[in-house]
Parts: sequence; C-alpha cells; structure tokens
Amino acid sequence: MHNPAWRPAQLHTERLASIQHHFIDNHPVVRNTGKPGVIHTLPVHMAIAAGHPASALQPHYLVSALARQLNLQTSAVAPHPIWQLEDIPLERRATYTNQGFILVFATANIEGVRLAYTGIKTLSATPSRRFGVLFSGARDAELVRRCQERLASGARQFLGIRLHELGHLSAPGPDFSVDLARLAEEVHRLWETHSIHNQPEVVHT
Amino acid sequence: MTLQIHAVSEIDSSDLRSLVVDNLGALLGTGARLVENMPQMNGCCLATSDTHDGPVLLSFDAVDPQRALITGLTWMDQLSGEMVPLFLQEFHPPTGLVVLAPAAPPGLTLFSGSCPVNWQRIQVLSVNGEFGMLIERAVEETTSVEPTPQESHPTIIESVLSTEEKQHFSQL
Repeated sequence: MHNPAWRPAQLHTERLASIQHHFIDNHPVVRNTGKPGVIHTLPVHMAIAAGHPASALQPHYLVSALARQLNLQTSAVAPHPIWQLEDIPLERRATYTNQGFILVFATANIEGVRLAYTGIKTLSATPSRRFGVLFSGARDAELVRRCQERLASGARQFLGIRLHELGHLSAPGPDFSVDLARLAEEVHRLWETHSIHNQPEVVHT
Repeated sequence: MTLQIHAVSEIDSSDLRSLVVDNLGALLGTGARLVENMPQMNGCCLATSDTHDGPVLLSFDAVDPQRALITGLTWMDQLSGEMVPLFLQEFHPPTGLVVLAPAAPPGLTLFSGSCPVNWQRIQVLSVNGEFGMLIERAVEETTSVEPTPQESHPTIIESVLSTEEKQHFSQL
C-alpha cells in the first residue's frame, strides 16, 4: 500500500501532467510571450575548420548567447522583436534570398578563412547582401589581423565586396559579457542598416 | 614573508566547489551568480546565471577534464527535459555548458558541434596552505584526441574557387 504521506505530491504531479500541454513550447528557441511580436532571423554562415580549437568560442554557444543578447538589448523596443540566429547550410543558400545581412563566424586559421570566403562567394550571388565577419580561436591579435586581411583582400579582389569586420570573440571568460554586448550592438546596427525591410517576417501571435 | 605555492592534485569536491563559487565573477563575468533552489546535483556541477541572467551550467574537475565534460553533459541532458520547467519554478534549462578543467577534455571539439559547450582552464594551487584557483584564458590548444572535421566543405571549395582564389587562400 502506498504511503499516504506521498498522496499530495502524487496529486500535484498528476495535475501538472494533465495540464502540461498548456506550458510545453514546441519551439523552445522562441518563447511565446502572449503578445504579438516579430521574429527577426539573422542568418549565420559557419566557417568552422576541422582544427577549430577546443578553447575557442563554439558555434552553438555563439548562436545561443548572441540571440539572447540581441533579445535583451532590443527588449525595450515596441513591438518587441524576437531574435533568432539560423545556421545557413551552403546547399540551402537559395532559400535565403531575402536576407540583407549575413553573419559569418570563422575559425581564425587559413582553413577557416577559406571556408568563410567560399560561403561569402556562394551567398553573394544575390546582390545587395552584406557580410559581417567574426573570428574565434586566434592565439594572438596578430593572427586575427592576418586572417581579416587575407579574407578582406580576397573578397575585395575577386568579388568586389567590402566586408564588415566584427573582430574576434574568445570563449566565455571575464570579458565575454562586455565583448558579446559590443558584438550584439554592432550586429544590430548592421542588420538595421542592411536589412531588406520589406522582407517577409514571421509574425508571432 | 615567503609564499609557498604549489599545484594541488587532490582536493575535496566541496573545497573545489567553494573555490568555483568564490570565483564566479572571474569565470563568467561580473554579476554571475548561483541559481537558487536547484535540485541536488553532482558535487562538481553548478547551475549559474551569467551577467545577463543567461542560464549556464558549470562542470568542473581539478584533475580529470574528461570527467568534468561527461558530468556536465549528463546534467545538461537532465536539466533540458521538457518536463523539468514544470517542477522547478522560474527555471530555464541551461543554454550553455562551461567545463572547468586543467586541460581541454578529449572529444570536446566533436561534442561542441552538437552542444553549446566551452572549456576554460583552471589550476588549483596551494598558497601557504590555503587553496587558490588560477584561471587562465585558454590559448589555442587542441584536444588530445584528434578532432573530427565538423563543417569542412572540401568538395564545395574545389568546385567554387578558381585557381587564383585557391592560391590567394593557400596561406595567411
């Protein structure tokens, strides 16, 4: 026989289980606030090299952290926009034809630079696109500078494109919050400047 | 006064936990804090909020990076279930895992392809008999296991880049 002392807890659990469908969100990245809102999707091209250092910022971490930061920084704006970052597989580039600004996240080495360039070249088939490039995994500022220069000069020479430098972001540490806030601010500014404002946005109700 | 400093290879999990809690600001940024009212977790795992109240799970081990990673992944899994928020008021599943260990955990690069996980190097020291923690910003270091290529697109590169472009992007 069950211990009667457990009965209240059991009833509580059963009650929660019976109403869980009211609370479980099928799309956990975007929480339904109950208020109408607009979802801003920021496409990201991941140029992650095989040798992406374990100590570097990892792609999934960037996606979560930057989306959260963008949502925080724009939370005072009405109607409240909801930001989400979406990784663009190169094979599906044709479905992103309406995006004006694209974030490129690259490993700070030659393979990362090459992957970044390949993505930019492929995605730049649509005119008026702008690219912001963020590196991670450099051991020093000199390596960051060389990666930026190599990518920028190649994009300028072969594609006639001028890239927006977003710098280098290390893995979470003491300065991460400040660096992330600065990055989000710049990304937001570029997105505002270069977004195609009549792009189809998802209305969240 | 002479400082007697040496590396510590053995430390109780409770002492290590205290060190991590005392250094949350240095590890995650100013304003980082513990999440209250969490269920009892492994002694080497902490639910925290970073500067912006982002839920981050910390997993740590003074000696064994692999154990820290596996412990962290296990708790990430347990705290990310859909039912969990129903039983924990004001709880948000962690969106990131930070592993604190003296070296990069083997396989971290592979795991990080499917899970938001990062590593930060720590070293526990004894300073005149008191425990202290050296927190180093990790420099470029690969895991002891050869990382598996994640998102390399060699075939795409071959077909997309011209000879001049390949030459331009052959070295930094």
